[in-house]
Amino acid sequence: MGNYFFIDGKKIPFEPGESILKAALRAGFDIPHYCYHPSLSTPATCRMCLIDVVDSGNGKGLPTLQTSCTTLAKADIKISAQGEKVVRAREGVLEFLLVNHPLDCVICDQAGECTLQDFAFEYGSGVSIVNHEKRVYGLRKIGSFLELERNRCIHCTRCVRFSQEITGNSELGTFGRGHQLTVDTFIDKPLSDQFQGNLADICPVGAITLKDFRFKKRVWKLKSVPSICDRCATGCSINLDHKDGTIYRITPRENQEVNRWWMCDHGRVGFHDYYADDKLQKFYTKGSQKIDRSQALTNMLTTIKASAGSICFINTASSTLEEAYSLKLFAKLLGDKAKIYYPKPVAQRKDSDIWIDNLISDDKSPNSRGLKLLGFSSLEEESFSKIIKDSTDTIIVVGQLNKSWQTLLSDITDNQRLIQLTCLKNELLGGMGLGLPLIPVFEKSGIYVNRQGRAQKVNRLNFSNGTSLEECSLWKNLADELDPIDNDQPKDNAEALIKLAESDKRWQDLTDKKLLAKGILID
Amino acid sequence: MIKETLVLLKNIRQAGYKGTIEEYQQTGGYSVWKKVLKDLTPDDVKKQVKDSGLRGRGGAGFPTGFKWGFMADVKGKPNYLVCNADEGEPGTFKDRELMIKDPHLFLEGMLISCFAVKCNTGYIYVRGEYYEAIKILKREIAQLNKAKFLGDNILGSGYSLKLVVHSGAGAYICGEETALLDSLEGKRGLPRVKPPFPAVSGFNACPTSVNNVETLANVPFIMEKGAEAFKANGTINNAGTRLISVSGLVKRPGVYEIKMGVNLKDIIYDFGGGTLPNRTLKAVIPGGSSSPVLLADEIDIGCDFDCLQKAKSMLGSAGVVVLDDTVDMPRLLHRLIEFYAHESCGQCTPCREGLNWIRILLRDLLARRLEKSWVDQIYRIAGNITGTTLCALGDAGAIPVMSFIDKFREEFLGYCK
Ligand SMILES: Cc1cc2nc3c(=O)[nH]c(=O)nc-3n(C[C@H](O)[C@H](O)[C@H](O)COP(=O)(O)O)c2cc1C
Ligand code: SF4
Ligand code: SF4
Ligand code: FES
Repeated sequence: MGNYFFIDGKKIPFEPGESILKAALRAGFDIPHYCYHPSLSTPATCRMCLIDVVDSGNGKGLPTLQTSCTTLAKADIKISAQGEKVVRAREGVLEFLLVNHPLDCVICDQAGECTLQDFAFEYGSGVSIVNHEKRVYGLRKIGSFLELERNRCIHCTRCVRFSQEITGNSELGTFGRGHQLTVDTFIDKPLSDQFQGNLADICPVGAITLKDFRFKKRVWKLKSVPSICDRCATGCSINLDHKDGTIYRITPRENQEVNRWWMCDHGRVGFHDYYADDKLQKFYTKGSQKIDRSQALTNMLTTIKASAGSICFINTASSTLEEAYSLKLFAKLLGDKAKIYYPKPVAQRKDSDIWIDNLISDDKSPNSRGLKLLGFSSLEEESFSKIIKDSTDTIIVVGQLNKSWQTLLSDITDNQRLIQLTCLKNELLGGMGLGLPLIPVFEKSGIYVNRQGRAQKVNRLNFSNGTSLEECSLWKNLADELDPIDNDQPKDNAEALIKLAESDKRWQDLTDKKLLAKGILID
Repeated sequence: MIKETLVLLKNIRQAGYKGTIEEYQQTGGYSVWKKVLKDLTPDDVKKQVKDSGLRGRGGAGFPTGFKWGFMADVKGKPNYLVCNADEGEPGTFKDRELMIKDPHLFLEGMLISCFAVKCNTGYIYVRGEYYEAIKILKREIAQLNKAKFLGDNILGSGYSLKLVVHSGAGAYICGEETALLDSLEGKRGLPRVKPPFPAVSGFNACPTSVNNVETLANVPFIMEKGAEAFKANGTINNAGTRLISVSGLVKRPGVYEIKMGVNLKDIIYDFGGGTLPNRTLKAVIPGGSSSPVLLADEIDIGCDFDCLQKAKSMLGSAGVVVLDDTVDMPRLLHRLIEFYAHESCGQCTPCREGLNWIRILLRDLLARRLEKSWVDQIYRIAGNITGTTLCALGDAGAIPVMSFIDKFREEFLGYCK
């Protein structure tokens, strides 16, 4: 006798204390459900997950249907999830949910990933007899990030429980009773936290949707690439939903070790920064003159060659591990005059009792920990200021500096040279030195090491915006010019990783599968 | 002519009885309380109540002694006894009678019961509309404190007890015991998932027993006269007397006390005085408005939990509603469903959507807008509510729909296009 029970004859393993629904879902057995969400308490109110206990272990069944989300799995009990009683009850529940549903799927952004649609299709009776007016709730605004369309709501209260149990701010509540029950915020109190997008994810229907994604694309036309977010040192697992070279939205991907089911709003819509109209795809000389790519590269080479004194690289830790390692090799080629630093990461504030409040890292760079592991030295802001004032010959910034560091650059004198490589718009760029565009994170594939010391995989979309530079090949090109015969410079990220693994065993056996699933704790 | 068996209404039936603490004591009141404090342990009381076979009078008829037996002694968590005085089921008004006319009988029962479950703070959750009962209970509890029958170290026994009267706010669902506990905790009253039952995790997640007013009012008699004397009133498995609220189209509506098992027809004719002049009996709702309706020729049955169950109805809260030939059953059903749909807490799908759908359909039926096939549809919809909801309110609304259509189908069809 093991820990097994049976659903329609199929053997399902379970852990003690686990519900039938949870065990079934893990075993890949689908039982339709709405109010249950693994992260939240179980109110057992949608009644969608009803099952029939035909043998509760003593040869006898239970007289009434049970909710599988609250019924504990027990060894050898027999469940029917397809019997006539269950089928009828499901049809009934779906019919009830649809009595007042507006059925405006044609203009609903949730269509295609709506479990009301899916379950109605799979478990519904297929006919509707409703012939009277439907319930209409008034319009409500709940903030600038989300759209609430209450007529579509199926009252599962996942959103309310999220606000009570996950963010703990209770900004959402249920109001009214009976068929007038509705979810809402308090009067004149729009949602204020940084995790609102998750409400759109857990809402099983189109009642809560992202304003940012509204009417943008039908979801079945989107393709999805698993990756991680680069907006801070947490590295939430995400999916990049894209089509024809355009990202339409980013959704969190479950990773219990890092972000559970969630991500912050900043990371969710941050991709617009890269693809905004003012994105830097041009090459600039000092004085904001546009030049072409080959000219810019020549200028860069000349600058490096001409630097008799020191060359200081500031890598803002948005480079992948592979790119940073390439840079390390390149700097080695330049000899002792080259130094590499990364801005000292902002220390994480103290742990909050509310789990999700710790999700966002105060260090906004995705790979500080990775650079540290490569032996890069971190730099305080004052030291950076000193480096500038001490008339270091050449300063090469790889990545986007934060505002206050960026301001320090204005202390650069005419005797110094500045090269900035960035994929974001940069007001000072071009005015002060050479400016070259890098490809954004969505176009590269490599490893970031997050605040926990977990190596994770960023994945690229299969498109490129053309002229922007890929870091490894940039260093390779320059190295080939500097020392065409004897340089060890890798040509791309893959080769960089191989070389890195040869030099340090820690980086061996990092399979993409593991890096993507949960990441690998390295440090 | 049948006669009442007076246990709970013994004092109330005395002419001029006002229900003050002095009067109650003159009839021997609080002597049982003193005896319990002096001579008995909580387990003694529990055992005697269990032996008496007392079943809950709030609706479900669960044996009270067993319920108390489930209460776990958990270290660091106090036990609570919460009296359910929400009395919301249409056609039921017996608890009000006890609280207003003989509050001390009920209060003595409450004290003894609190002692039995080792509770030091007892709550009485009274229906908000019962402002008179609330006033009286508060006043009489003050009297009890003064008489030192309540408070710290009562009569030197070492046992301390505080009673709190809490007013509901007019929601029927707060009569459901777990919604009541939510409400008492200051939250929205929503029925909770069971298990855990209140005996394990109730008020403030502590072991709690929720008991009806009438249930508790039986306890002094059981402790004074013994379990056997209690059983002597009533039938096997249905011990004791029962308060019946007779209402509707009868000559003498009111609360009557019977031995369990007394014939329903006798109750209606001998106590209720039968139908109004020149009317004939059409149907009877025997156990509060949610119990299945009985036809005029089905009422020759005993009034106890088991007999009514056999007749496919239920004793429930023993609210007997008498209906005569002037009653239009679809209209009455519409009114009932207005109530249940309005009182649904709305958290679970079948009850929230289904009852309101039936309400709208009955509205349309009465307006003669529906085809005949809709009668079956309404029946089917009600069937999809029964047995699929979180608490029993869904059933309470759906059961009358099914029983009315079962028994008065022609009347419903008569309203169709
Ligand atoms: C919708 C609903 C309403 C109820 N209302 C009452 C009520 O008003 N008074 C009451 O005593 N029990 C009511 N009950 C029953 C209680 O849940 C509970 O069973 C009872 O208070 C237990 O007390 P007893 O064991 O003494 O009967 C209601 C149940 C439901 C489902
Ligand atoms: S808005 Fe969405 S998540 Fe919230 S209760 Fe309605 S359906 Fe559920
Ligand atoms: S059956 Fe009705 S009243 Fe009871 S929990 Fe469900 S919605 Fe609320
Ligand atoms: S998932 Fe079980 S009742 Fe909603």
